[in-house]
Amino acid sequence: MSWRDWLPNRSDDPGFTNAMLGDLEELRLRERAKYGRIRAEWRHARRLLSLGRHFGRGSGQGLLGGLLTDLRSSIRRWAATPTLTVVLALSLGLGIGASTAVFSVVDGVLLSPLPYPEADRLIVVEPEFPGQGGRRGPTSPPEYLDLAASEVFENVGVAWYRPGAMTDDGIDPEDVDMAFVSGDFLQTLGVAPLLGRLPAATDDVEGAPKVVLLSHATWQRRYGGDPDIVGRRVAFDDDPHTVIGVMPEDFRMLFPAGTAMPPSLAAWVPWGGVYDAYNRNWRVFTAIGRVSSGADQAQKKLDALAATLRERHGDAYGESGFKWRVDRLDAAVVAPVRGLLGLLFAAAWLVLGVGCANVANLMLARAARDQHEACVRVALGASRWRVLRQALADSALIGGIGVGFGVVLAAAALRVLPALAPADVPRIESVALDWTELGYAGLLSVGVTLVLALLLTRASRATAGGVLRVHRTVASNAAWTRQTLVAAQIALSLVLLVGAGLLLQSFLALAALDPGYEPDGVLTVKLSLVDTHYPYAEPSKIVDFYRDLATRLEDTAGITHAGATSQLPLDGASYSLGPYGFENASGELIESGNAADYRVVTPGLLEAMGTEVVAGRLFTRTDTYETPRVVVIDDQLAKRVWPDEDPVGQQLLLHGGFAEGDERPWAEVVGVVRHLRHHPGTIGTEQIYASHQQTAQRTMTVAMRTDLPVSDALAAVQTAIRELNPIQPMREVRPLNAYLAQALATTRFALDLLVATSLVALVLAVIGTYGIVAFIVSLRVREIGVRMALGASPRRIVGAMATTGARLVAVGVALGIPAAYAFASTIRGLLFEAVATPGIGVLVGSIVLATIGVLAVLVPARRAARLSPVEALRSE
Amino acid sequence: MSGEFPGEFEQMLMLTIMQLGDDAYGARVREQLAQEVGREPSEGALYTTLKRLESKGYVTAHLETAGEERGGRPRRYYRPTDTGLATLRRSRTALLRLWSPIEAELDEA
Repeated sequence: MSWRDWLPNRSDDPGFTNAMLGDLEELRLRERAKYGRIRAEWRHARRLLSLGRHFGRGSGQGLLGGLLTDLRSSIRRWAATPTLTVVLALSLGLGIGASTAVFSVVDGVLLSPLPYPEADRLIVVEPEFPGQGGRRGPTSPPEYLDLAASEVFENVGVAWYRPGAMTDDGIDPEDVDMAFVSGDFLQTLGVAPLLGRLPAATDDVEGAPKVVLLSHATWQRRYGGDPDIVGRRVAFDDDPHTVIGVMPEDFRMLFPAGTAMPPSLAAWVPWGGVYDAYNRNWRVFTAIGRVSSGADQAQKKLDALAATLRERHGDAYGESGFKWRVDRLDAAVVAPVRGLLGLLFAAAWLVLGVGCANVANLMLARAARDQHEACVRVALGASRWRVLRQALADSALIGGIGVGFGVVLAAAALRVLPALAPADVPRIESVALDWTELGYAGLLSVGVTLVLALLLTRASRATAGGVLRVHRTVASNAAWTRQTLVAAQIALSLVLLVGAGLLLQSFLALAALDPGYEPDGVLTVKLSLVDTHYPYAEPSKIVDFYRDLATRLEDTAGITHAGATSQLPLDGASYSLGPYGFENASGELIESGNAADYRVVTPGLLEAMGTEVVAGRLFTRTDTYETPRVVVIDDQLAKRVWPDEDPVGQQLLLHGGFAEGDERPWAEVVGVVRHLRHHPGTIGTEQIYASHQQTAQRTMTVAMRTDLPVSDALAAVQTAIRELNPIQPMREVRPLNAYLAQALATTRFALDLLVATSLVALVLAVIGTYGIVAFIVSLRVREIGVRMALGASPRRIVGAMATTGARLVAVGVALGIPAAYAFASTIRGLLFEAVATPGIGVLVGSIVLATIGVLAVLVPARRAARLSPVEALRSE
Repeated sequence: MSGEFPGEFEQMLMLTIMQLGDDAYGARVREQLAQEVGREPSEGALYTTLKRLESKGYVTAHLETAGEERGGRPRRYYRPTDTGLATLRRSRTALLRLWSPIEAELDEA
């Protein structure tokens, strides 16, 4: 078939055709002068069409003219059955829309490369401690030097997230997210600055002039996009820094989820510390390297290096089994949401499957009806090609409408999804319906149209004689296919329902979990004290600040308790895990296998959180640097380590981070509290609380228990801070229960989407079941008439019809149960551990589907029974 | 063949062809028809009818090469045959006979 086919048929009479085309050409030229080019071309095209209709090949019509006729007749035919048309378009549109939207998200978040040059060569390197429960941690400064010297990398750099304050004269102080970076960190990522230069190795040495690289947003917001910003002096933590450059607007720090690095930073500052002067267990940096030989090679070389280091620094690593874990950066960034997106992807495909089954079914039913018409047309002389072409046009039209609807739906979904998605889905804001996704929708449409046309070719198997026996043939030929499709649909819906049920169970279990504290009525605010005013060399200043702040707050009417913690429960993942040791009954030091989640808290914090004291006491203001070191532990640690003894008064060996010098300190357990849920979904980690008055930290989250309105409480804390240090900013003012809600957000998001998709699938399956039974009834009207005329009661008619449908539902559910079990076991990893088996979900899902299925069957069955015998017999 | 009458559009085309004499080719016929009776036939109808006139033997046709304005394609010139003229005449006679008694009536009305 070529374009010539819609021109007049040449082989008939080439001279005639040629002359005719010559006439058209002549007219076209003449009309161009008369009407102008556009109108002349339009008239020319109309003439060609008119000729095509009269002289083209195939059933006496040109293909193009014929297609227009076919399309027009298709529109008429679809318009004649509006319900069917709408159901078909909805089925296709929902399926295509859902899968396109989810594909767009998957593509944007998982498939498209990170926005760094040759991002597939970037790896993230993390120390791991198999001897301490497999905990992982950041890299210490000496370890960074080991990595840099290892020749494993083309480039390797480290970064450390750190909140800071911008304190320029004449501009309001502002608390910002920034990072300390090593001299080669940004070179490793490979992104060039917009203005100026990146930090270099010479900036990252002790005593080097202090410089800063600004983000585009900071440059615009704080310095009004000053074109001469490079070289300008700005103040961080009251310390002047020289601006060396500005990063591009779209630059993001895409780090693995556990590193707590926000994607949008305000500034990058070279660390400038003496790397080899630090303890090997002082862990603050995230290391990212660029390799040329792949992550596996790097892993091998680093394993060898780690072995050497374990030997050389036995005192630092001990029994921890220190090694490096290497992951590709892109995989590590999306790791926490990979499962969730995979689940959604599967769900979207299932919905598309159910939708397509529906479409196929309804089209088959329609084809059966149309076969009669097709036979009549063949009997009247239409060619088989002509009949097939009509079927193609019908499918193309409904396919086009469905795809169009699907794309609109997907575009709408993509507008809404990023807003609903939890904040920890990386890159969700950059997800958009683009050409890839449209191509995807296009491919789907071609596939669907072809399948539909294939189904409809049945209609072209029309013969003149078929006019008389059409109904019977169709009923027997297509019945099996149709019933299989309905059963498959029901099975797929069951899978989705069970998936949604499991996720719901998981969500409820998570939500019902006792957090171990009273999350309501607590306001929190984050503070990072300015370095220059509160240096670590004078920890008493830091201690005093937080103590005075708590005192001022507790003196405010309406605030009962106030304190501060290094990290709130459920406030993101962190590297707060650390080893600890204790002496067993025979005086032996047990270190292996002990890991606890460490938090540093001020007196008053545990009270403000509403933590329940199980034994002993909480911290008081009399625990200071001058008094013996004390800790509070959670009941899990207490139960495991001292199952038969009183834990209060026992001694714990803390991790290296608490050391002053080389000695790790021992601390006395003074109290035991209920276990707090620090991380979503995990129950197991033991917890140790250290006193802030013995381990000063600048960056803390203040929490106050209050019955004041948020605005009043906020005003109180603002006043108190300003009185203590006028330039001290604060950030992230949130109620404590917001962290709880945020921890559930990912599961909640997945749950919402999965429930929505399974409802769509359920609706589609019901439509399918209803449609097929209604169709079977319509085929058997004559039989029903005969049976009723012979005395069958309406009840028996309902029974007979309903049995057919109920059998379908039963087969579907039977097929669905093993599939649902298989699905459940694949998504097990995404579920909260308390959810045991999919059994309940499968049971409930089966019952729901069976009930709805039987209802869908009963409606047309009862209608059959209401037919009067005479009417039924007259129907043919 | 003797009892056959041409259709209305066939008659119009034949009359136009006769009017045009040596210049009667498709595009010209179309133009002339439009000018004389204000009727612009569709291309499909025009060429199908010309073809039918040929196959009925009412007209003959011959090709003549033409210039660039037609993309190098020839013109097909039409000329009525004797059969065509006879049929046309017969049709005219018949129509006139049928018209004459009612012509006066039509004028009064």
